[in-house]
Order: sequence, then C-alpha cells, then structure tokens
Amino acid sequence: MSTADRTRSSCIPSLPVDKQQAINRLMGLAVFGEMVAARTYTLMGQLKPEFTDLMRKFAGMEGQHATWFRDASRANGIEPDKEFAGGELDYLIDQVNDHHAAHDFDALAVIQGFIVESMAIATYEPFLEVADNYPGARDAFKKALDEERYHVDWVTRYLRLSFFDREEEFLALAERVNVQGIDCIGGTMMKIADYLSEIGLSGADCAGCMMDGYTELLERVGVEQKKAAKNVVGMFMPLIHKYRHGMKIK
Amino acid sequence: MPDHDELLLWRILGKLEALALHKYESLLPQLATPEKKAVVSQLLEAAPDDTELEASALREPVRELLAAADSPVPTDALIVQGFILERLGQIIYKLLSTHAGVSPTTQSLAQRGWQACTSVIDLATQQISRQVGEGDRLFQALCGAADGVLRRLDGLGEGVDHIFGARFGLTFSEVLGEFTAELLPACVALGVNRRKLVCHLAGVFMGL
Repeated sequence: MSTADRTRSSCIPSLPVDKQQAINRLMGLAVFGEMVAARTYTLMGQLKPEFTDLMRKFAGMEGQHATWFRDASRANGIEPDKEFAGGELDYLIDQVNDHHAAHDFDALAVIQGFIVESMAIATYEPFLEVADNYPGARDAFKKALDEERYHVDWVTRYLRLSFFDREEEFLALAERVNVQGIDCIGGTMMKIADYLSEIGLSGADCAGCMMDGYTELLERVGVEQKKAAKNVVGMFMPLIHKYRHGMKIK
Repeated sequence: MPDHDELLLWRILGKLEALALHKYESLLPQLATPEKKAVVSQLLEAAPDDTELEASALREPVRELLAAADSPVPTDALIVQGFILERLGQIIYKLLSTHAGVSPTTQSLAQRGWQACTSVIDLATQQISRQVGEGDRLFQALCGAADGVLRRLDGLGEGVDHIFGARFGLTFSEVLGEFTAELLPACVALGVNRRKLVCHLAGVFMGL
C-alpha cells in the first residue's frame, strides 16, 4: 500500500492513560521504532554499495538498541505496546518503502537520519532524567542516545558534502521529504506528548527539542537559520494546533 | 476597491493597530511613528465600525486578544506590541502586499503597514535591549508579558481559517508558523536561548 493510499488511523489519546499504559506505549514505540530504523539503514545500504557496510553497521546498532530496550522493559514489568507502535510506524514504513522503491538514498537519509533520529534524541535525552525509576534503563538509553548522535553526525556530513554549495537543492529535498516525514513523525510526537507527561517528562519540551534539533540539523547542512526554522516550525504548527484542539492528527 | 473580506481584515488590523498606537502614545512615545499613525488612520477611516466584525465568528477572539494586549505596564507594551504583535502584523501585511487576489488599495496599504511595522520593530528591539535586557532576563520578561497574548492567538485560528482561509489560500497555523520562524532569530539575536524558547512556545501553543 502506498503512502498516499493508506488510510490514516485516528489514534489520538482521547482517553486519559495511566502511567503503566503510558510507559508500555512509549517503550513499544522505542523498541519497534528501533527495529524500523534498523530496516531503514539496511535498505539504504542496498542503494549505495559504497555505504553498504556502514549502513549494515548502523542497522546492527539500531537492532541492538531494540534488544536493550526490550530487556529493560522486561526487567521493569513493562510490556512494549506493539499495536500502538504499529499504528504509529506503519505510515513511516510506507514512506521508507516509497523512497527505497524510488532508489532515493538522500530522501531516506533525511527521513531516517534527521527526522526519525531527531525524535529519538528529543525523547531519549530527557528520559534520562526519569530513567532511574526503571532500573537498567539509564544505561540502555544513554548508550543508544550516544549512538543515535553518531548516526546523525554521519548523515549530516554525508548531506553536507553531497549538497555542498547547493543549499537550494538540499532545501528542496528537505521540503519534499518533510511534507510527509514531519506530518508522520511530528504527528507521533504530538500523540505521545500526554504519555511523556504521564511518566514525568514534559511533552512540550520534547516536542520543542525535536523542532529545535531538526532545525539545527538543517542549519548544519547549510540552510540559513530563518529558512530552516520556517521550514520546520511551519510544518509543526498545524500539528500543534490539532493537538491543542483534540483533532485527528494522523 | 477592497471587498467585504478585505474590509473585515482592515477592521481587525485597525483595532489592533489602534490599540498599539494608543499604547505607544501613552507609554512609549518613541514608537508612535508618523508611519504608524498614518496606517492606523487609513485603516480606521476605510473600515470605521464594528458591524461586520460583531456579526462574525471573530468578534470574541478579537475582543479577548485586545484585552490580553492591553497591559498598562510599559515593558509589557514594549514586548507585546512592539516585539510580538508588530511582528505578526508584519507577516500579514507582507502576505497581503504581494497577494494577487486582493485589491490594489489593500496591496498598497499593506505595503505601508509592513514598512511601519518594520520600523517600529527596529525601534522596539533597541528599547528592549536597553530597558528589559537580554538573554535569560529577556526570556523571563517575554514569557511573563506575552504568554497570555500568544495563548489567545490560538482562539483566532478557527474563525480566520473559516472566513479568510479560502480567500487568501492559507491557514492561521501557517501564519503562526511564519510568525514563530521570524520571532526565533529575533530573540536569539538578543541572547535568548533558542531551544529554551522553542520548548516554551511549543508548550504555549499546545496549551500545556
């Protein structure tokens, strides 16, 4: 099923969730999201033989994160919510499949290396503040966070070199990928805001960190500050508006 | 000639601009520029009464926004009017000044409105730096003075989209996106930590 064809499900957290349900859903997203990331890097490796080994290495690291998170969940009586994660990740998987089918390595680099990793970093980093409530989770998330930053560093350098002195072309790529990518990943961020709050984090801070983190990444590739902010914030605002008014997000 | 929608927009802008000018004249005279006075005068002359606004879905949200922006404290007025609402006006005027679907009169007025906003923003920015300070001090003042106004902007969204969305081909959340993207570098230039501000604005706009 193509991205355009997929019927988007409405899974706004319309009913309050308890802390256990919130952490089950968040860990579901973390565990299965890492597995999707592993698959995405594997697919990227298929498109550029010169990066196959590196992408395979990245994929292995993402798979390892999923294992760490699953182990930490098990140790704390958390049942990662696969159904919830599936509802969130199916739309992302569709986009990844579409870009892979189009042999579009750069689009995959933006969606995985920038958008998905921005969300991971924006949630893992603040999670460390409450991680000690879940024995074993701190180490797992700290190591994963460091490795996600390592992936982002590589993607940033790759895109910066690929689009050196071609800022407008990079911006066009980012805008093309962002239209669906931020709608998808940013939408998920809005939907988990209440779960993050439930476990003691600030959903707004996580959303803000994701927006700012992604804006920074665009700047690091060469996009001018105001253009980068406009591109990212402009796409988050409709999602924020929908969140505030309890409207269907995706 | 401006049509019905344009005149309604003129009335809303006129009321907001008239409040801003009143604040400048009473609290911050250096911001009451001749350009701003001329724009306010033209807006109020062309759209002199509230009849259309009162009959529209925007009546209450506009009233609430005006009330929130009516602080008697000079630094609040400096931030809310000179730094926040002038910037929002600047974006709306810029949009109208280049919009192919509006009358030449509106385009011309919008061009003058944009220039007046730009001048006031420059003056206000200098004053903020001197009177309020920069960095975290400004961040705290900004939150204290502007949160109420920013929260009420959301109330305009539905009405604006319903009345002007099809006419001008954009949504209010897109305007807010532009506004936020303009506000961020302006604050960063005054030493405000961008991430802290983005997180704060996310919370304000999410209603958290």
